[in-house]
Amino acid sequence: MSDASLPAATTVPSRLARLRVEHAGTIRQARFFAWTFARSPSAMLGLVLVLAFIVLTAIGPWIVPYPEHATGAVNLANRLQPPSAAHWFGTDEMGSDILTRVVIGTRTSFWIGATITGLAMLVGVPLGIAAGYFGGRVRSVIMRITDVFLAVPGLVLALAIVASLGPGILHGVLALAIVWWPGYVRLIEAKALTLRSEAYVEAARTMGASHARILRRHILPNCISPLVVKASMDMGMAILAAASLGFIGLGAKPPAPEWGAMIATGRTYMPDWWWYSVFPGVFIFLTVLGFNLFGDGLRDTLDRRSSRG
Amino acid sequence: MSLIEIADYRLAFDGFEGRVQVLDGIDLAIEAGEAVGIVGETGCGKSVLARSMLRLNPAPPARIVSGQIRYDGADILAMPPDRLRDLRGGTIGMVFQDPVTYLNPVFTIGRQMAEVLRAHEPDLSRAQRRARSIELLDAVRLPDPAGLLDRYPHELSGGMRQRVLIAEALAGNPRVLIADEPTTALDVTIQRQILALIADLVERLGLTLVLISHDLGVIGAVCRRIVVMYAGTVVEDAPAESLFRAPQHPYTRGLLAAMPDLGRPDHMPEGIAGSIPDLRSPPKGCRFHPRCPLATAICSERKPVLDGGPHAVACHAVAAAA
Amino acid sequence: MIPLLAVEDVTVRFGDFAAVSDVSLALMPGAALGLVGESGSGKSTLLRVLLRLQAVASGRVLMDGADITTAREGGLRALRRDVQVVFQNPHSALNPRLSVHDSVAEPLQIQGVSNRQQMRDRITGLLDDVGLGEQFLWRFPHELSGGQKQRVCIARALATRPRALLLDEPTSALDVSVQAQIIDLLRRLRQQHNLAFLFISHNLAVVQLLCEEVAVLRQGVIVERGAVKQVLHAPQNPYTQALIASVLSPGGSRLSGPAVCEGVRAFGIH
Repeated sequence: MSDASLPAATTVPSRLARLRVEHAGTIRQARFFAWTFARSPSAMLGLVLVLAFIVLTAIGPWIVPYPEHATGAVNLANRLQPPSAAHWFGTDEMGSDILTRVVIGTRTSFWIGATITGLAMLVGVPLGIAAGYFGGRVRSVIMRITDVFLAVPGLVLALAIVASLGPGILHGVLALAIVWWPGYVRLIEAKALTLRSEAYVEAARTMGASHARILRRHILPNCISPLVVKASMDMGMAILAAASLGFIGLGAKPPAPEWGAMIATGRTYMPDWWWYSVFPGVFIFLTVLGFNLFGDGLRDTLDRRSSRG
Repeated sequence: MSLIEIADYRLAFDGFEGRVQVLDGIDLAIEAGEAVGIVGETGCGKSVLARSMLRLNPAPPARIVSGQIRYDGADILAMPPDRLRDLRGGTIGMVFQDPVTYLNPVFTIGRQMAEVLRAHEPDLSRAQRRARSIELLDAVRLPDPAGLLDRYPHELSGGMRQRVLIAEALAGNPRVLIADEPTTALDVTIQRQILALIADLVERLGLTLVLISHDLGVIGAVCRRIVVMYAGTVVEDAPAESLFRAPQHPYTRGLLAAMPDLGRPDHMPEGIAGSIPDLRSPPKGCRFHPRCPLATAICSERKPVLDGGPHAVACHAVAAAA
Repeated sequence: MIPLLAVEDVTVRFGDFAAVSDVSLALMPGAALGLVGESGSGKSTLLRVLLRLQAVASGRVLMDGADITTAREGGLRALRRDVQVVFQNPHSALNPRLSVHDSVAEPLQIQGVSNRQQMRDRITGLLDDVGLGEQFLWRFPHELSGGQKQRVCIARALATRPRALLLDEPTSALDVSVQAQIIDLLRRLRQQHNLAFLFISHNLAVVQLLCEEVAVLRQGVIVERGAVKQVLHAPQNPYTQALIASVLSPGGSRLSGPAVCEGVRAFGIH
């Protein structure tokens, strides 16, 4: 082993240099993640799709050809035009540019997905941690309630909730968040349960670490990998579920640019005016596919690291 | 001609931050009926070498850089998949470290034995398969083999599970048994029983044995010939008695000096200074030279080769002294 | 003299199964006691009882003569400071998300050290104590070898300046050449810091090197105890004898077939 007898105060490293030294391991790890991730073509495809989705969300209103069509301009002279140079994806029954509406629709989908997943995590993670880490009666109560929610098919329950609250995008999101959190309880409970008996957690207990400290230092950080993976997959699934609500008329309502609602309206114009339904459909498909492939890639990457050490 | 012939075999794993040179020019010939032990510490490549004998290292990331492995004259590295399948679990049986992971928890022992037998002898009737299963379980000295057929893996102790796996390895009437750390997960009393069983089977069935272990005590208990590996190279290859009586390679000596011995209370084990090299950029010349007390200039330049003879050693310093 | 840590007539049950039955054991200040047994002997359960991680069905746990059997965390401050543990598998004993610095810092933070420089100096000193240089400070566990990880675990255990280390097979997952280094390190540290050791192992040869006294545990009961020399070289209990007979000497003691099986089977060990 090397000699560590150098006096500690010989050099005064700059703050940046110190940070670089202290985080060298993290940087190496990040490079390893990137390397593993980049080796999987499907993961990279997922990344590209997710990035494209996020970019469209961010700059959509500034790049679309007819921004005013987003909220449903009426231009009946131009209604149901097939794809052309002026309207790449054609126009709808109001004469609005479908490309515009589909691209702006990414915003709707993004906030729907992020809100549902975020709310579900906000409820599910603390409950899961409490159930898994503390066990005992706390666990039985939390898990029985979770089981009840899991026993009812999610979309059916969401339908019931929306039906009682009344249709609309906000109610749809709320309903889906209510059916979404049990998945996080399950995931985190199982993870926390195994982490609780890890030797390093026992070691922390023998040092007199408080529960708060153990949760903060040991349990939560080690739950992040599975959480990120699930969140990524759920983004896709939540977007799909919200589109389903929109499709059956219980979610977003036209003229709000929402993919599910667009497909629902476009359905009546099939098959002659196919572009109306197909392009929103393709966007849903690519978005869900993207988040799933991305999540799969993340799982492979993060699991590899855990098996490595 | 030897039964298993490995010549100038080099294997690398392509990984993050470059290629790991796991095996570097392995030369090893195993005769029919020999009981050979391969010993070495973490990362020496002993398990990779054992798996290479059945081409079990997934490629990628594994990459065969050079060399040959022949079984009974046939090149394993160029063998078509169906012949390789006959070899695996058939002519060459394998037993691994952790018996739990190699038994399916949802099937009875009888069902798992039957499945293995079906792969090797598809013509057997149900009753014949059952009879043969009982015979095999009896051969590994499990009590009440008929009753055992209806039990599930979790109802068995670790030692019994390992016996079941040995029985499965015997199902294909193997000529060779490759056992990779078969007793590492077991208690010492059970370890001794399993090793005694392996020694007995080798004797009774005339098997060729390749036993892989990190523990010279385990190897010495069963094997008549010992191959010592370090960082992907064979450093010493000698009859067991000769190796224990007069170890030649500085690494082998270090390994023996590091072992605590219940019979010698005053022997204070000594570690080997330094740590195993990073095989992404292994030391030039002899891979042991950075830790070797006898290293001279030549050791960092040229890779030593195994000298001939029954007690072969790959070391410049030993060669110079002779 | 009052034992530093002791159990009196302790029984631990998991359902109907008694993992430990009526065991009494005392660790004197500065002493080194070996606890030998195979899997299922209850040795790890006993360790958890001593650390107050496992509740007992009956019996008492004593520290410096005081009964801590049912003490709450607040009343265990002395135990959490003076008694530290080193686990068998260094891979799982370190949080994969914490650097070496952060792992070793944990007990110090719990003890209330907050000055950054003071903390840093103390950690560097501890790592130096176990033979690790400053370049290891910011590495993550997966970047360390098994031996280096175990050194980090030992450094972490020493951080609170404990009076006793409970060592749960600390060398079993390591290569022999590394094991020898760790044994050497533990012997040196014990002398240097006047530590008491409770050393749990199935490896009798290692117990012999680190302990003066030994207790043999089988199926939750202590079957033999005494000075190492006596128990390991003139065992009285037949189980101890079988255990010692099973040790494979590194000189290459060849086994001679079924006779051995029968000899051990006589004790119903499968």
